[in-house]
Amino acid sequence: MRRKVALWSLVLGAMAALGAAAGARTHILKMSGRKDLSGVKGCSNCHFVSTSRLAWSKKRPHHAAPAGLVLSPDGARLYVALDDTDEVAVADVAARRVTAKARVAGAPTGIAVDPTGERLFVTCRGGDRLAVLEARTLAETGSVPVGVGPIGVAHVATPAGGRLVVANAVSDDLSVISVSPLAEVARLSAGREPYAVAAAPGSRALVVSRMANITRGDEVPASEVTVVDAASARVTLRARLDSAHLSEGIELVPRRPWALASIVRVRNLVPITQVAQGWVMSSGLALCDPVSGKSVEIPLDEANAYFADPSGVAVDADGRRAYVASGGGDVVTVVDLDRLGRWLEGADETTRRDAIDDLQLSPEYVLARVPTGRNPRQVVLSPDGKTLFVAERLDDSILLVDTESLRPVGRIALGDGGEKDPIRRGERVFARARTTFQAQFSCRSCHPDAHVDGLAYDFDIDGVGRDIVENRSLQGLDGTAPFKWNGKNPSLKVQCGPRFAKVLTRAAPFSGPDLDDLDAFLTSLPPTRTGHETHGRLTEAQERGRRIFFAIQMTDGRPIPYSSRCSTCHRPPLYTDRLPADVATKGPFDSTGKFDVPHLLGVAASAPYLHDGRAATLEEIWTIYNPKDTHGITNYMTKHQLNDLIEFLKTL
Amino acid sequence: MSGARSATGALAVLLAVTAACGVKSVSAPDPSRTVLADGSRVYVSPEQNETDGLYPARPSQLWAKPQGDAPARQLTFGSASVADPVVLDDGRVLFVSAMPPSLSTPGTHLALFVVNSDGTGVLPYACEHDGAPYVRGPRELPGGIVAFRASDSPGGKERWESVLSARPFRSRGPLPAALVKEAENPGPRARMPMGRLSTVDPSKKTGILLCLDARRNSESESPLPVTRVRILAGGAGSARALGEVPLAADGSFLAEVPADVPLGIEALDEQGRVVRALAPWIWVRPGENRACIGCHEPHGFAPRNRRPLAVKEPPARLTLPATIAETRSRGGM
Repeated sequence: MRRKVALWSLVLGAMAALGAAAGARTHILKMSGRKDLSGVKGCSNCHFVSTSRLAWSKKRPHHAAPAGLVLSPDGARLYVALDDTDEVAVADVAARRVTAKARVAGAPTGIAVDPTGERLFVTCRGGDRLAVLEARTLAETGSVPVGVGPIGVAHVATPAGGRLVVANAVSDDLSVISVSPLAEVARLSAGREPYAVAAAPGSRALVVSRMANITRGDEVPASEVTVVDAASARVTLRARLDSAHLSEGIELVPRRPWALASIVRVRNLVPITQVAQGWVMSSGLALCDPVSGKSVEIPLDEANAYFADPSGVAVDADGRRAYVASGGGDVVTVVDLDRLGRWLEGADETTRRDAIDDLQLSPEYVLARVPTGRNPRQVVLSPDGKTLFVAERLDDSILLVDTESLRPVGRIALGDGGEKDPIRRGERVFARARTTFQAQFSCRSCHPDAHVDGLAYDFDIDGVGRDIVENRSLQGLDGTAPFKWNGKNPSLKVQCGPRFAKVLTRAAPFSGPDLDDLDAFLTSLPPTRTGHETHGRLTEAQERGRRIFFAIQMTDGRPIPYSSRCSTCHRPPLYTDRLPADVATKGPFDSTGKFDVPHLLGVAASAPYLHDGRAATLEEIWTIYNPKDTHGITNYMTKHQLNDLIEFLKTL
Repeated sequence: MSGARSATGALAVLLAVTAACGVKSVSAPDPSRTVLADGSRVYVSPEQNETDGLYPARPSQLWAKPQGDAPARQLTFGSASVADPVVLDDGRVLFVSAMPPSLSTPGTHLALFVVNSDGTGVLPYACEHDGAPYVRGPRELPGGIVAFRASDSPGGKERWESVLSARPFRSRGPLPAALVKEAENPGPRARMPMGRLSTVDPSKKTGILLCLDARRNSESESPLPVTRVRILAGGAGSARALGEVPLAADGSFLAEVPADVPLGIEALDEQGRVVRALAPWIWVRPGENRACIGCHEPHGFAPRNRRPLAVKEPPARLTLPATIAETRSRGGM
């Protein structure tokens, strides 16, 4: 009898489960208005999603990671901006230890000192401000709002007094600030993600933009060096750096007409048939003449060894040596500028043009590679040029290198390195290049700050010339599975697993523990900042846009079918239903028209748009690429209504 | 597959083709230097007779034998015999073979090549157009140095030479005396070579050849007057044309070609004259997408960043002539 009951329970249970699955499927098809969905979809595609349960909304450990460095004019004290702990630290160089720390709110990142050494100027990229500190006490004495996401800052002496030029990476502009009185004098346009700033003679500042500009189709991308006359607060030159990307450092070279900018030379237009011989990217320096705007790009890599993610640059006072931190390669490359100058003098126009692609060239001018700790990003030289200070970002330390012997002579500890924190360990995996064939690039090379590089790539696994896809942000990923534009990867561990090694790194896959740590790091990342945060209140335009986003009828009262409403596929709170959708954007080289619905958190800072990056702006998604209302019914909107919709999207 | 033979012995046979005496033996590198990251040991097979020449009907090839009972896998598929494999720290296999014959070089010059551990991505490594034409016994030394023995004539007096891995095509010279002892006996390797997941797709029988600009060449800035290319397949002396592929306006071409057979390329001008020729030597593995910059491309260069027009069209499909397919199925290629 008991056996019969058990059997019937089993049968009834199975029938109930099948019925529930069929009911759920009918519900999903009805509510999504779709008839093309296959496979089992879960309730969690649309329901039970709460951002408070996601990894990125949880508290995480913070680390004393050095973001910016500057020495006092006498070289006795080293000031370090610690963005992750909201602090500025000062270290006694002779004693090689931190002597004081002060709290500076808003993720202090870039740091500069005035010529007297009395004041520090600190950019706070999370607070969109520039803080002024008294150098002796580290007390904050002033603050001024700047653009969104300020990173680099330089002090420029002008006849009108001291000026500060600040690179606002998120708002793509520059703030020119008078030191006394402390006030923003001008906001100037720059390239995409202006990042590092260097002072130059003649009241000028040189700014390099980290990202290449947004391009269309087969256009060659380019980064930019922007020359600013700080006295008149005007841009005097915008120089193009062809195929340059991830430019995070710039420094002027005394005695020579060059500014040196670190670059990654991307080859995103070339199908990724191989990684060998720099077919995906390689590292280099752009030698940019800040007067003419002409530039020569030279490699830092070698034919069979690469030094990925060049970042901070330092040049000695007599212009004879440059030091370039390789964040992915864990080395500092030492460049002999005299030898480089001689090579340049002997090179004809064609040789100069092709120099960056010549992977056997760097021994002409590279003097040494100095090993460092993890993820060296910033470098500064002591005033006498005898000591190089290297910020080992993911070790929470500063390495001191003797520039004569080129050997380490000490280290200043800022924190414990975070070895016990899986998120920190995952960031190390993310930033290191040695998991790629010949250490050619790291995850960060294409995803700086785990965000986007704005480029589209041709992965040959889908066929050469086929399925070219735009890079997607890794910020705000938790809860948005599946991954890839085709939605084929159900988890980050699959996305970053063996297939990734086959497709891209062409090396052994990440180990299990590394993959766990990488997952912890990526899921810990909140959506990117856009500078359009509402702090709970929408403007009138944003509110109008919100109503359009959730509209169920057009302006004239005609209903918008459920399947054509913005909020159906881009369902809050993540603004995705995590299903594939066909919005008629299949191109002639795409093997499918169904693409994973991307989440919209931080969408304003994730250009370009659509799976292959064909839309340079949010507006173009609808004004150019939605002529038949296949990507939501939008053609009824007036220009003003579309503007309102975009204003709302920017707040997400 | 016949029995494995010593790599050094294979090269001795190569050299003995033109000189039957006077070849000094080179002490084999430590066995650990022929082991891949997955534990497979790389070796040369089949054995050659002294009269086989550089391009025998059945050239010696590189193989990788996994640990245990798993069968060996073939790594090279060229028309010239190979010898002296060593596994580099970056996981690739460095070996000696004859340079592919072309219009300008008769094909008796030995050089160093590399291939991935799955047989994909074969590339020249060093010694192609510089110095003494006979090289053997390469080995990787610390400090980014690759040492090898070189002689001016088959069986002639040998000396240690080296290249820097940083610029292998521009740094050939005598091996510093202080390093000769280490070159003669490099000892066990200090660290495991880099691993790699195979990109070979056993379900396929073809691969893709992409050339970014067949008019670009290393000898001149002026583009070659090439309008199409002829792809050849087959062993030495038995190569057959698979077909011709027109160049796109930017000089690029894309072709789907049979895998695991020696492939050659003839660059043709408008009148069909051969402007440049590469005898069958390279190969693609099943599912491999193989690309080059140009026709006799400059070595050690990365490509310019531009999208080749050829990828906007499906690849030209070239199939193996029945005679070659038959020879191949009998293991003669």
